Amino acid sequence: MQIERELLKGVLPLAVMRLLRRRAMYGYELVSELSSRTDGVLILGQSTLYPLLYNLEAQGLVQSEWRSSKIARDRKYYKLTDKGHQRLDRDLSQWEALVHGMGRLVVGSETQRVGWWA
Amino acid sequence: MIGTASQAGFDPSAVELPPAIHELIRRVVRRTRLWASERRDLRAELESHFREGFVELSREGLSPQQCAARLEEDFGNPELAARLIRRGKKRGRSMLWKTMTASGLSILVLAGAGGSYLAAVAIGRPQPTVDYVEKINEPIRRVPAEDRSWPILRDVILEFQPPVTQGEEILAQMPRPGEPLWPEAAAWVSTNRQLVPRLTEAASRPVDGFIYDNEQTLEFQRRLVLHKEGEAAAQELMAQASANGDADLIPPTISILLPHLTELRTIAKYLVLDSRQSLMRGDFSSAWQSLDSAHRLGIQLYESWTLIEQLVGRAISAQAMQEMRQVLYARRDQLTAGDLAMIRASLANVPPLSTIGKRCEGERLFFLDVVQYLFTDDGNGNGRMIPSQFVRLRELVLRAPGDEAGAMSQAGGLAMAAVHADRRDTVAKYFELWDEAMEKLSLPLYDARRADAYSSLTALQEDATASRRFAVIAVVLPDLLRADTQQRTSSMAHEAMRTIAALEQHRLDHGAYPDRLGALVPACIAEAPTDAYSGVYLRYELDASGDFRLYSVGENLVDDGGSTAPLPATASSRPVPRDLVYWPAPVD
Repeated sequence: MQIERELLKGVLPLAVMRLLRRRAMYGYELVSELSSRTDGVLILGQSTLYPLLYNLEAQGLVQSEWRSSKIARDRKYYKLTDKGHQRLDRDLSQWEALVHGMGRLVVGSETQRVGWWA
Repeated sequence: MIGTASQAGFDPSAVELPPAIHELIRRVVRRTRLWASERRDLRAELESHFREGFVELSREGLSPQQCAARLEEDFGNPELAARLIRRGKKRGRSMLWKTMTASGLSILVLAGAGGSYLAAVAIGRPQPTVDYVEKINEPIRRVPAEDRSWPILRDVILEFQPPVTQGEEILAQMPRPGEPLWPEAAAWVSTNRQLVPRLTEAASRPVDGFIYDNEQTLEFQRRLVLHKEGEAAAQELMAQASANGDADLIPPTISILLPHLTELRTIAKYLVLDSRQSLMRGDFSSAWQSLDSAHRLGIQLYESWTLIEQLVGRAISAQAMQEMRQVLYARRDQLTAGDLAMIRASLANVPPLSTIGKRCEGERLFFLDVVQYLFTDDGNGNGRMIPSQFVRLRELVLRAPGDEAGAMSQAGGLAMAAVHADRRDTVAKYFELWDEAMEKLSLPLYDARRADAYSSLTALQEDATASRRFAVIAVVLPDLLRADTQQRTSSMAHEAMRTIAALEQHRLDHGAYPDRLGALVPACIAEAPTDAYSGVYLRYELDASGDFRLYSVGENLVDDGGSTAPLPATASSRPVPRDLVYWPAPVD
């Protein structure tokens, strides 16, 4: 399902930060994870992903580092900073309130939480 | 779920990307226009990314070409990506860099604005469109030639011979018969005696009629210098005139040539000396005629359009009237009915001096001329001040001295131009101040509100912001308060002369002076003279000897009993006598 760009605008940074909460990831991995964990709803093109990551980095919400390993060299990993964690908690609360409100508005009853956000 | 290359155990760094992907990465990286280190980092990250994707797609069974096409398609718009990446990367740069960039931009903007301003003011040139000199000349040209004295005076001046010896001393001391310099003065008077009838003829004409035309005046000046100093001096004069390269940048109303003023002062003094010589010969009629001529020439000049002419005219007129009073005083016991009839006729025919109004009109035209040479012209009545012209004007009007001061004033001119009001506001403010001053100056001399004529200008000068905003007004607004006061005191002195003649008539008719001025009316005079300072009759007192005292209470508005002792001078005024005494005539 193709989501309107404007609707995605505020969601994508939240989604990316949510993925990075558990562990550091590199760009391609983020694209893959986001697609698979949202059943293809949130698909990030590279032209969107990297500017988004750089913006988060500029805000001090994520930080990057180049890592090498035995099986794969030279990947740039992104991880959430303390500030990023705080922002994520705050934004998730707002998101849940938004989803709750929109759920009631759209279907007339409280919707279930989207499991993986929690 | 899509697996990643690492999860599958591949080493993506070992994958060789197709040329199309390399080209895509190169385009994106180049278009970001980031720093070299940032571009290297970005290229590495994108290559890493595409290798992951290439491995992934290869595992799905796509050919390298198909992988490349798919990766290109998934990447999206390279130009948009480059722009967004650049924006994100720049946001991540250090605060120091952001501050320096912002400062640099600010400096660039300021430098650009400043440079544009300086360029604009540097190339600003006046574009005068109105010939204000000709506007001043218009009413003069309307006067018939036979009513103008200047054509006669011009020829007389060119024939007039200076004193052979001790000329400066004669003019400075104005000797009387019996004094050491008198023989030289008498010789000079005799040398030019044949010119006196023509001077009398010129003085009898209603107006001076001098046309402000520097081209004609320069030719007159050349002939004058040729007559007085010879060919070499005349050539030098013309060389100096043609060397004036700034002529087209100077308001013509400022640079009007008035070489005749000095000559007319000399001629007026000549006429006074001529009257003294006539009296020596016992020719009272000729003596009075010469003084009457000097007086009228002064009044003609006083009616001219420039303040300097008015100043000289008043000085000439005042000197002639003082001499008249002295002559009357010295000969009061020998005056015949015929003498008095001649005196009273000559005084009655002197035209009244114009009031401040005409001077206003001339000064307004002068200011508008200055403005059109001091400001640019946008074609809609507005423009900005040209600093170099402001500096030039200050040097011309205030006689600002020296190179060092000139250099400083150049800088000051630039600064002044930055804060100075535009052309339209300057003119509006000038006329606002002008109208207010005129309203107050129209009041009688004894009205205390006259002192406030320039209060708004003073307030403007004392306000640091306003004085810079309207600096040009402070430079050119003339002191008409003094000019107007002079006009009124001159008129009063003339009325006093007529009164003295009437008093002498009364004495001739009745054997004594009257006990009050009212007794002269209407037999000897139409109405008793008013003191312009007090608004009531001039002070008139008879003393025990039967002589009288006639005076004005003067500027302090206090009757000091006819004392001519000076009032204490203030910072803003020259010393003036307590009372203006017309009789007994002061001895110079």
